[in-house]
Formats: sequence, C-alpha cells, structure tokens
Amino acid sequence: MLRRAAWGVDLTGGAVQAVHVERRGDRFRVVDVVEQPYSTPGDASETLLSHLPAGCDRALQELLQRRAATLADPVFVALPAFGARHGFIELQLSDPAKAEALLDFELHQALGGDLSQWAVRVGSLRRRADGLGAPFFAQRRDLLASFLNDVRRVGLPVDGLIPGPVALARYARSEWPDPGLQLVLEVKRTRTDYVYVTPERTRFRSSPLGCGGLKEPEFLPRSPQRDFDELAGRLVHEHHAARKALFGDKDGTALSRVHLLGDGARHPELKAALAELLRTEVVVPHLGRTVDVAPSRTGAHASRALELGTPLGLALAALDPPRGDSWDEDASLVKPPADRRLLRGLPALTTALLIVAFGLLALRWLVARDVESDEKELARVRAAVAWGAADDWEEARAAATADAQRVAELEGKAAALRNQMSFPGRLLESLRPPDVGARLVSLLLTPGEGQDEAELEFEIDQPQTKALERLAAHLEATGLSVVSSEGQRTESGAFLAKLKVAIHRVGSAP
Amino acid sequence: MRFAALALALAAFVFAFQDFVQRTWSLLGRDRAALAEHARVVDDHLARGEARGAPPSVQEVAHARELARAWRQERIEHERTFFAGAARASDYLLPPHRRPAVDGLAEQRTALEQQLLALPAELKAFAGASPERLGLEVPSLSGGISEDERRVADQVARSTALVRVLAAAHAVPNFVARDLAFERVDPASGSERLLLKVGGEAPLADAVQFYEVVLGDAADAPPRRLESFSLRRVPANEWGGAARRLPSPPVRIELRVGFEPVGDERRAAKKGVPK
Repeated sequence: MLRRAAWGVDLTGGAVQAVHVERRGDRFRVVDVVEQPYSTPGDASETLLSHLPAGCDRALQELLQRRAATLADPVFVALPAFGARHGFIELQLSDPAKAEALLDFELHQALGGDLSQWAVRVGSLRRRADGLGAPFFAQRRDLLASFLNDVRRVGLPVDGLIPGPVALARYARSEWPDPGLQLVLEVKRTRTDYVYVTPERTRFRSSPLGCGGLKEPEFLPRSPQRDFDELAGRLVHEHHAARKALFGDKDGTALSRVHLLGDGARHPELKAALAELLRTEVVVPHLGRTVDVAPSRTGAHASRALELGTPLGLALAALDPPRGDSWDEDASLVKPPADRRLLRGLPALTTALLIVAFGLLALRWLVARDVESDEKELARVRAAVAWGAADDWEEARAAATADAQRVAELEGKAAALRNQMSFPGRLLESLRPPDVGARLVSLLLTPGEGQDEAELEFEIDQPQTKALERLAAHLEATGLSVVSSEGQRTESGAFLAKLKVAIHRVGSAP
Repeated sequence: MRFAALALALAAFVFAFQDFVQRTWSLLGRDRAALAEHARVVDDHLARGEARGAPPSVQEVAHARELARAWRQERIEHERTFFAGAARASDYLLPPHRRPAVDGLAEQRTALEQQLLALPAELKAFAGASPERLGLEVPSLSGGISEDERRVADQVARSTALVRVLAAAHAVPNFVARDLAFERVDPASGSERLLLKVGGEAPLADAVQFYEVVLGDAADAPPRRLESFSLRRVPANEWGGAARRLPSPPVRIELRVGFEPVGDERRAAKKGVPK
C-alpha cells in the first residue's frame, strides 16, 4: 500500500513547529516533530504581520536540511490570519440551490464589493432554525501572495496554505467532537489563538501575546505563580474581549471546556490559573482520539506532539481533505505546484511500470509453462489412440480387397472364356442323339456380363407335335434357359425353330 | 532518487515489453495453435471413433497384413497363370520359360522383327489379307521397325494376336479363310481395344474346332476375350469352290476376338495407341 504522509508547518508564534503525520486508515500517526524557536528569549509578543517573522528562515534550516527527504510529501503551511475576514452568511432560505446563487451576493456584501482582491473559501451549507448558512474565510490576495513568496523564498515548499486558526479548528473538530461551545486556546511564544468551536461554526481571534516571557519549566523561579497568574489574567481578559466581539454582549453560552495547547500547555501552573479564572475545565491533550505518536518517541514527546494543534490541523487537512457535507472552509487557499505534484506522482508511476514489467515477465513464464503443458497434452492425446494401427489395418484391408477383386476378375474371365469356348461343342454334342432330330443351321453367340446369350436356329425335317417345346426342353436339360422361341414351316416342308437362349455358366476357373 | 528509480523502472518496462513482443507474443501464438490442434485432434478422434469404432490391436493388424500378403500371393499366382507368365504384351514374343523378360527390349525387338518378317508368308492363306491392311510394318532392308514405343507396342499387339489365329487356321485342316482384319473399338470406358475379326468357311465340326483353338489355352498370345461368334449354314448355291475342297457342307463363321490388356498395357490402355 502506498504510504500517505504530510507535513504541517506553523511558522508564526515565535517558533517553527512542524509535524510529519502518516495516515493509517482512519487514524493518523505523528512520525516526526520539529520545534525550533526563533523569538528572542523573554519576548512575549509579536507584531501581527502577513509576512514571515524575522529569524524564521534560520529556524527552518533544521527542517529543510535534516528532513529534506520527507519534504517530498505534501507540505501545508499555516497562513497568518492578519488582514483576513471570516464569518457566517445567514440566508433566509430553505432551498440549497437558491442559497448557492445568493452566496456570491452575500459575499460581496460581507467583503465590501470587489471579490477579485480576496481569496475566499466558503464552507458547506448547513441548516439552521431560520434557514441556511455557510461559514467563509477570506484573505486579501496581496497578503496571501506576499506570505507565499516569503515562505518559498526561504526554500520551504508549499503545497497548501490554510489559515492557522482554521487549521486549529480542524484539529479540534477531529479530536473533540463534543457538543457545546469549546475554547481551543493555543498559547504560543509570542501570540495566542482563541478558537471558539461549536458544531455549527467556528470563530477565532489572534492576539499578539504569548508565553514567551515565561522561563522554561526547568528554569522557573521559586515562586513563579505570580507570572502565571498575570499571564492567565491577560489571556482571560483577551478572551472576554474576543468573545464579546465575536458573539456579542448578550451571548450567554457557557464554555463547556477549554483546551490548552501550544507552548503554554507545558506549564501546569498556567493551566490551573486559567481554570480558576475561567471557572471551566481546562484540559491539555495527553491521548489523541484519532492521532497517535510513533512508539519510538517518549511519553513527554508524545504528549508534546499532541499539543501542536495548528501543525496537526494542517497535516489532517492535507491527509483528510473535506468530503461531502463536512466543513470545507479549511480547504487550501493555494494549489500545489505542478512540479511537486509530478514529483509525488513519480513513485506511483515507477511502481506501475515495475508492476507492468513484472506482469509481462510473469506472463511469459506462465505462457511458456502453459505452452509446454498444452503441447505435452497434445502429444499425449495424439498417442492415446493408435489410429496408425487402424490406418495399417485399413491399408491391409484395401490391398487384400483389391487383390481379391483382381483374383475374382481373372477367375471370372477365365471361367467365362472357358464356358464360351465349350458352348458350341456342348451344343453339337447335345444334338447328336438320333431322337433329337434337329439340325443346327445358325448360331450367334454374344457374351454378356453375367451370362452369355445365343440365338439359335434349328431345322427339323420330320417335325412331330410340339417339336418346338420338346426341343426347348431338351436344350434346357443341357444347361440353357430358353428366353424365347418361335417356329415356322419352310418351303421345303421342314420346320425351322428359332430360339433365344441364355447360357448358364458351367465349370470353374482354370 | 525518485528519477533514478523511475529510470530503472522504465528500463525494466522496456526490457519486459521487448521480451513480450519478441518471445511472449510468439508463445501466445504457439499456445493458441496448440489449443486449436488439440481441439482438432480430439474432433478427429471422435469422428474416427464414430466412423470406425475402436482401433484394432497389434495382433489384429498383424493378422490383416498376413491375409493381405496371402491375397497378394494369390493374385500374383492367378495373374501368372492367366497371362502365361507375361508381364507385358511383348513377353508373348518370347518362349514361356523366359517370361517375364528381364533383359530389356532389344531381344524382344529382334523377335518382333523376325515375327513381322514371317507373317506375310503365313497370311497367304487368308484371301485379301495383307500386312498393310492388317497394319503391320514389315521390316525391310531400307528400314527396321519404328522407334516409337507406342507404335512398337501396337505392332506387338497385332503380331501376337495374328499368331494365335494363324496357328488355329493351320491346325484345322478344312478351314477356308475368307477374311481377317483388325478393328479398334472405343467402348464407353474410354480405353481403346484391339479386336481381331476372322471370317471363313469350314464344316461344322471344324468350325467349332477352329473356334475352340482360337479361344483355347495358348502361351503365345495374350488371353482372349470373345466379342461375338456367329455360325450360319451356307446355302448350297453359295458353296462355290468350297464344295470341291470340303468333305461336308460348310458353315460360314465370323469370329470377333479381343485381347486382355497385360501389365503396363492395362495402365496405358487409356492413353490409346495409333490406329
């Protein structure tokens, strides 16, 4: 099975954070993590800009140099949400076809007219109590191009570009598909993303305040609680401001849970302070629902990988693109370059060629074996029935039959000739007795196929009564068959008998 | 790396495709031919089995061959007896103990020349018969017999036929020869046959004797075949000179005799010979 993997890379927030994730059926596995800070120690805020922060290119070297082999996989990068607009278009309609047509108009209203300046992604239509609605995200094309050029200039390939908070929401929806309002709080070194997730929509805000001012857990002072309380208080304050801006003053929806991610998740004191101030359960992910970590990594690394929400959301978006009725405002704002697509297609092409080549060679082996088998079977079938013996027998029979016919022919001819030769003598001998009284005056002997025929004429000087019948009877007694007979008186008073006879064959072959 | 793998895969594909075109394709053809031949052999077996039944055993074949050999010996013996040991018409020019001739045609041509030279004198007994009318080519000082094999065979057939009739005429003392001629008939079978027509007068008993001598066993002529024989009493007013020569009232006979084809002559009969 072809391996499907992708990189999710977040370059904002004071550190390069990247995860390499493989897809295994319905689950995802983190196989590599890169985390390289580039912000100045003690710096807890950044200017929200649309281009790469200073120092990011140096921090990318580890990713670009040591992971170059795996960078052929799709690389999805988080787009800073600075200058972006997002919202929810509500339509008082129930017919999706009409709503689709109205979406463009509503986008014009929401984005101030000219859509050509915006790169827009609109989510799928979903039903609401009063009609239909769809989320959208829009970023100015010049800012998008500026960021994209910056990233590509430093050598990082970009196959997909998704707003960081949107990617974070993607990760949150995959891992915590719980009802109610959940706050995903990703506290980075120099910034914090507030992402409010409900089953219907996503709202977010970024603030230039992070936990970069905190010392690393191992270097914390003896009583660091005041720093955490102070940071937690500022974060909660920013949360209230964001919620008021995003949900309005009158919104009273209670937070069901707060998920703490990012660098801030490394500090349990911050988690406790946030829970106390928000009066809500604050959780840090330790075990993923659909995401796990390669076994070679330690437990600390595993839980740390699960805290990198934005890179994980980017990787999930790359490996599990939205389908059907799912959320799709997290679709990439750019398409992968053609050369990258071609490069990724090479293994499949190589595999296909190898399979075809192997198939052709295997086919020859199979066909050769089949030919050998068929020819052996043909020889066996030919030899199974000894028709050669039948032919020999037929030949002997034909020769014997021909010889027998020839012998019979010669015997017949000899017998016929002998019979014909002896007939006149036999006839004269039969006329010799004095009581016959007939004198042969004419004989015409004609050979026939089965028997010979003769026309005889006799002269009887003193004919008695029934002389013709008596003569015929006498001749038949000598081996002739009288076919016809007639008699007449001659002028001299004699009786002339004319008989047509068939001569029986007598005797045998010489 | 990926391009190198692709190049290797492409090379493997080219090799495999070339192998397919050069070898596998012909193997497929052989396989199809073998299957078709297999089907044909099976059909042939079924058809033969349906037509002939089971093939014979080796013993049955040996027995059939033995019978065929016996029949062949029987046929050879019958032919030797029937044709008086002759294998071809020219063998009748030689004495029976030298048949069949194994020393070529030279001696037979000599015998034929001698016979052709002797026949004119013998033919004087038949009124009106001459070598020319009988189609005989009598050798002379200026030229021998023809070199054409077909003409030689024709001369052999005519001379051997005449020998038997002339012998019969001499054997019967009171036979008065009247007519002697050859004729060619072309029966429906397509092969020409040479017939000898003999006419004459003799007392009844001598006529029957003449008839029996002409048709009887003789080693100097091919086996004869009766075509027709007629015998009729001659009226007294037609006796003429015969009354003085014959002791008893004559009958007029007319005998037409054919000759069985011998050996090569049987196979060449359809080709015909010049008249």
